[in-house]
Amino acid sequence: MELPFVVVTILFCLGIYTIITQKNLIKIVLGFTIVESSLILIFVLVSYQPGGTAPILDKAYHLVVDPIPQALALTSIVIGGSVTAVMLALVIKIQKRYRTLNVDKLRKLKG
Amino acid sequence: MITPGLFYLIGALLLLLPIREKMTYILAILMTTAALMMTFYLVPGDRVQLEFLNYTLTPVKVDRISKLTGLIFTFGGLGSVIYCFRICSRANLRLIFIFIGSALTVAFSGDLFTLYVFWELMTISSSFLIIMASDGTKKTGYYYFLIQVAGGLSALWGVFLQYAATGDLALKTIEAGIPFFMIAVAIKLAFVGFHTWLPLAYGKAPFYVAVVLSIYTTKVGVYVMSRLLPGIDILAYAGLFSALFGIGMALLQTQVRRFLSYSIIIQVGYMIIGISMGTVAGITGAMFHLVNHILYKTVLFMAVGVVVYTTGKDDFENLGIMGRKLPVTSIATLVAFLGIAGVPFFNGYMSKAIIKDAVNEPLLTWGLNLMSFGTCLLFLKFIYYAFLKKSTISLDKQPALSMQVGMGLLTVMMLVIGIHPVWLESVTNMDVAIHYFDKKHLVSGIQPFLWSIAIFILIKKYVVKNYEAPLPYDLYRQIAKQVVTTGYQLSNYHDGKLTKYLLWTTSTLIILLALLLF
Amino acid sequence: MQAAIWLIILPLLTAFFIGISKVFYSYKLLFPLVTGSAILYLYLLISVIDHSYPPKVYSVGDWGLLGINIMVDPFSGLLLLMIALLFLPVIVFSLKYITFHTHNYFILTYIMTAGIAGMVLTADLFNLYVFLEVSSLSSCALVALKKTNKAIEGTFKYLVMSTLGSFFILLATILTYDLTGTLNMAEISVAFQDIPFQIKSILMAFFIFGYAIKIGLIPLHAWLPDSYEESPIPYNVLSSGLVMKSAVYALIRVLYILFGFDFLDETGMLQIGVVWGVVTFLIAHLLAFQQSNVIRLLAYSSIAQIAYITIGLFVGTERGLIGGNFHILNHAIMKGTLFFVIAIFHYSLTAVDIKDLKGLGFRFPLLSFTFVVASLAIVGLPPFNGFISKWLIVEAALDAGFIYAAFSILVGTFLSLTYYLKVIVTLYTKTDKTIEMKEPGLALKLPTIFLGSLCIVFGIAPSLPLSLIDKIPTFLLDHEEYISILLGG
Repeated sequence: MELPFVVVTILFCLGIYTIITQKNLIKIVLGFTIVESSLILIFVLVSYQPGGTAPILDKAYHLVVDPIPQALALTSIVIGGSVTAVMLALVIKIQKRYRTLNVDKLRKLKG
Repeated sequence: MITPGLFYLIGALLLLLPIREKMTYILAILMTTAALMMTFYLVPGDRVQLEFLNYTLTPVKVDRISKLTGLIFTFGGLGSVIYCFRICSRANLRLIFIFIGSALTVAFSGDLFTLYVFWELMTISSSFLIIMASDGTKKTGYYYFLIQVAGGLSALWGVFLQYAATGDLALKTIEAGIPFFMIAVAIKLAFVGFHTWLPLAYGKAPFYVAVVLSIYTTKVGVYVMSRLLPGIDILAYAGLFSALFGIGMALLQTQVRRFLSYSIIIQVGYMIIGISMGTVAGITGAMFHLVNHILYKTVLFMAVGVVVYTTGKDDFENLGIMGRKLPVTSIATLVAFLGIAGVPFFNGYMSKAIIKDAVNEPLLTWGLNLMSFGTCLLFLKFIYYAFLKKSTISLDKQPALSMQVGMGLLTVMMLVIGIHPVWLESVTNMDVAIHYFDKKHLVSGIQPFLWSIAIFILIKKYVVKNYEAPLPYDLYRQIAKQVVTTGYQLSNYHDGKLTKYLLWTTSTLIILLALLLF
Repeated sequence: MQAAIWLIILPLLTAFFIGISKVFYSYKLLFPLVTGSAILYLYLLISVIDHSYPPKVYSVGDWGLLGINIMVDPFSGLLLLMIALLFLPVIVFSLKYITFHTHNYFILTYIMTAGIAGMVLTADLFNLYVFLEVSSLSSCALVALKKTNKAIEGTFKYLVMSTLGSFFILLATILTYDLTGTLNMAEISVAFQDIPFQIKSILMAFFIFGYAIKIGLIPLHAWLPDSYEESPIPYNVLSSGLVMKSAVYALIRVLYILFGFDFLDETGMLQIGVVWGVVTFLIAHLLAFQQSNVIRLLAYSSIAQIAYITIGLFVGTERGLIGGNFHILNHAIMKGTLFFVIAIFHYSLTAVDIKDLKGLGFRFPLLSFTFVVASLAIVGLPPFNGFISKWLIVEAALDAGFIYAAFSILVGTFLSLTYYLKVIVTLYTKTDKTIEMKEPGLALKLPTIFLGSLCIVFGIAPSLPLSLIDKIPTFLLDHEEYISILLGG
C-alpha cells in the first residue's frame, strides 16, 4: 500500500509545481489536469481491496471494493473535465486577444 | 416623556415634505420653540429606559446640569435657526436640524451607548453640512470628518474599556480608558495639538454653518467632559496652556472667522479649568460659562456672518462696515464684546467670577487673569477695526431681517443674564452663593479690562497689524502621507502577474501547515 | 420539509427551461419564467427559513444515513435569508440591466444560486464540494460574460486560483473519507475523535487553505478585485453577497462541526484566524484607498469586511459568532446596495472611475443618498446596521481577550472612512460638464432603495434579524447538539 501513495503524492506535488512555475498557459492547464488525475488516483487507492471484486449485489462475494469512492471519482472526473474545458476555452480567447500564451503578459488588471 | 432633540429630528423629517417656502419657516420656528418649551418644563430626575441588544439604555435622563445645557442649546438653536433659515438651502437646513437634534440628545443621554451614537451623528451631519455647503469646502469637510471620527472612535474604545471593566454603560465618571476619553474630548474641545480642524472648518465653511457649528461642537465636548472627566488636575494646566496658545495664534490671524475660532479655544480653556477643579462650584461655573460663551460667541459669529453676507469677505478691514451701516449688528457686537471681556453687568462677568472663586491655585488664578487680559486685548483689535478705524468698504446688500431677529434674540438674553445673573441660577435651581456685585468681584472683574485698554493704547500698532499668517505645520497630514505611501507600495506589489499570486498562495499554505503542526 | 430539496431543484429546473425557451421562443418567455421562478423561490425560502428552528433533517429518497441528507439549522437559515433578500432584487435589476447574452446570464445565475443553496443545505462533505464547484464554475463563467479583454483575463485568474483551492478541499475530503469511511458530517465528527492530532491538523490546514482562497483572505485575495472589475455588476452583488459568504459558511461548518470547537482551541487555529483577519483588513483598507476604479475599491472593501467576519467567527465565543453572523448578513445588504448604485451609474453614463462620479450627487439625489447611507453603514458609523454588528464583534473580541483585534477594528473603521469619504465627496462635487445619460427606470431604482432602506431598518431595529441569529451559536459551539440531531434524523 505504501508505494502507490508515494507515487500519487509525487504526482500531486508535480502538478502543483507545474502550475506555479510554468509561464505557458497550456502548461498551467496541464498542471491542473495532473493534479486532478492524482486526486482521482487517490480515490481509487482509497477504495482498493486486494482481491476484491465489483460490488454487484446479486452474488455473494465476501470481499468487495468500496463502491462509494468510485462513484465520487466519476463525479470529480466530470467536474475536473468541465474545469479543464472552461480553462482551455479561456486560453483560446486569451490567445486570440493578447496574441500570446505567456502568463506574465496578462497584466491588464493590476493595483 | 421624550428628549427635546426628538423635535429637531422630527423637524428634519418633516422638512422632506414638499412644502412651500413660508411653511418651512413656520415649521422651523414651531419645532425649535417646541423643543425650548419642552426643555423648560423638564423636571430633573426624569428618565426613560429602553432595552436594546443586551443592554438597558437610558436615552433620556434629566438633571440640573443637563437641563441647563439643554436650555442654552435649545435657545441657541432657536436663535441660529431663525438666523439662517432664509439663507441656507432646505437640504442644509435639514442637516442643521439633525445636528442640533443629536447635540440635544447627547446632552440628555444617560448612558454611553446613546452618547456615542448621537455624538457620531453630530459628526456625520456637521461634516455633510460642510461638504455640501460649497465647492471650496470639500477638502475641509474631508479633514473635519476624519478627525472628528478619529475622536469618536477613541471615545468608542474608551466606552468598550469602561464597559469591560465595570460591566455598566451608565453615564458617570470614567474609571477605565481615561486616556482615550481624553483624546476624544480633546479633539472636540480643540486642545492644542488637536485643534487643527477648528480654524480650518470655521474659517472655510459658509458663515451660517460656522454659526451653528460654533454653538454645539466644542460645547458638547465641554458637557461630556464635565460628565465623564471632572476633577483631573493635569487637565486644568493643559487648558491654561491651550488658552495661552489660542491667544498667541489669534493675534496672528487676518481672517475674522479664524480669529474667532482661536478665541473659542481660549474660552473653552476657562471651562476646562472650571471642570478640572472637580468641585461643585467649579463645574457650575464652567456650565454657566458655557451658557454665556454660547451667547456671545454666537452673536459674534452672527455679526461676522452679516459682514460676510453684506460685503462678501471676512477680512478685518471689512469689519469697518459695521459702525456705520449696520446698527443692529453694531449694538449686538458691542454687547457681546463687553460680555466676552468680562465687564461687570454683562454676561461673561458672572461665570468668570464663579470660576475665579472656585480656583484656589495661585498659578491658575494668575493664568485666568492673563487669559481675561488677553481676551480683552484681542477683542479691542476687533472693536478697533469695527468702529474706530476709517473704512471705505461699501454695502453690497442689506442683511436679511431673519438674521437680525436671530441675533437680537440672543443679545437680549445676554443683557438679561448680565444685569440679573441670579435669574440664571433660579431657572435651573443651581445656587452658587456668590454676591456678584460686591466690591471684591467688581474690582477683579474690571481690572483686566482696564489694563488691556491701557496696554492696547501703548502697543496699538503691534496688535492691529495684519500679520502674515504662519503656515501651520500639521502632524496629521504628515502621518497621512506616510500611510498613503505605504498603501501605494503595497498596491504596486499587485502587478498582475499570476505566477506571483500563486507563489503567495503556496507560501501561505506552507506557513499554515507549519503553524498548525508545530 | 419537502420544500428544502426544492430549493436546489427549482433553480436548476429554471435554468434548464430558460435554455429551452431560448431555442423555441427567443425572448418571449424569458421575463415570466425568470420572475415567476424567483417569486416562487422566495416563497419556498421563507417557508424553509420559518422551520429552521429547531433544526430539521430531510433524507433524500428515504435512505436514512446511507443516502444524502439535507439539514436546515439556524446557520443555514441565515444564509437562506440572505438569498431571500438578495435574489429577487438582483433578478429584477438584471432584467433591465443585462442587455447582452441575457439568457446565458440568467441560466448561470440560477445554476449559481442552486449551488449556493446546495452548499448551505447539505450535510454531506462530498456534496459540499460538488455544490461548491457548481457555484464557483458558474460564477467564473459569469465573470467572463462581457467577453472583454479584462473580463477574460480576470476570469482566468479567478478560475486558476479557485480551482487550486478546490483541489485542496477535494484532497482533504478524500483523506477524510479514507480515515473515517463516511461522508456524513455527523458520522465523520464522531469518528474524528480517534484520529491522531497531527493528521487532523493537516486535514484542517487543507480545508482552511481551500476555503480561504474562495473567501479571499490576504494574501490569497489577488483574484478577487481582478475578477470583479469587468464582470456584470449585478453579479457582483451576488458574488460578494452570496458566493463569498457561502465559502465562509462552508469553512465554519467544516471547522466547527467536523473538528469541533475544542480542537480549534487546542491547535491555536482561533488565534491564527483572528491575526489573519486583522492583517487582512488593515492591508485591504490601505489597498482600497489606492484604487481609482470604484468597483475595485468595493472589491477590496469586501475583502476587509470578510476579515471582520472572520474575526467575529474565530474569537470563539457566543457573542462573537452572533456578531460575525450578523455582519455576514449586513455586509451582503450594504455591499449589495453599493454595487447596485454603482451599477445604475454605470448603466446611465458608463461611469466606473471615481472621477466620473463627479456631480452625480445632485443629478441622482435619492440614489446618492442611498450610497451615502450604505457606505457610512459599511464604515461602521451609527445609526446604521454595520455599526451594530461591528459593536458586537469588538465587544466579543474584547471579552475573549483579543484586545489588539478589537482595537484594530476601530483603526480599520477609520481607514475605511478615508476611501469611502473620497467617493462621497466626489459625488457631491459640482461639475461644469453636461452629463449625458440614460434615465434609470423603476426596475433599477426599486431594488437599490429596498436594500438601502434595510441598512437603516436593521440599524434601528437589530432585533429583527438577531432573533434568528441568536440561535446560531447553540449548534456551532457545541457540535454534539448538531450531531445528535443529524444522526437521529
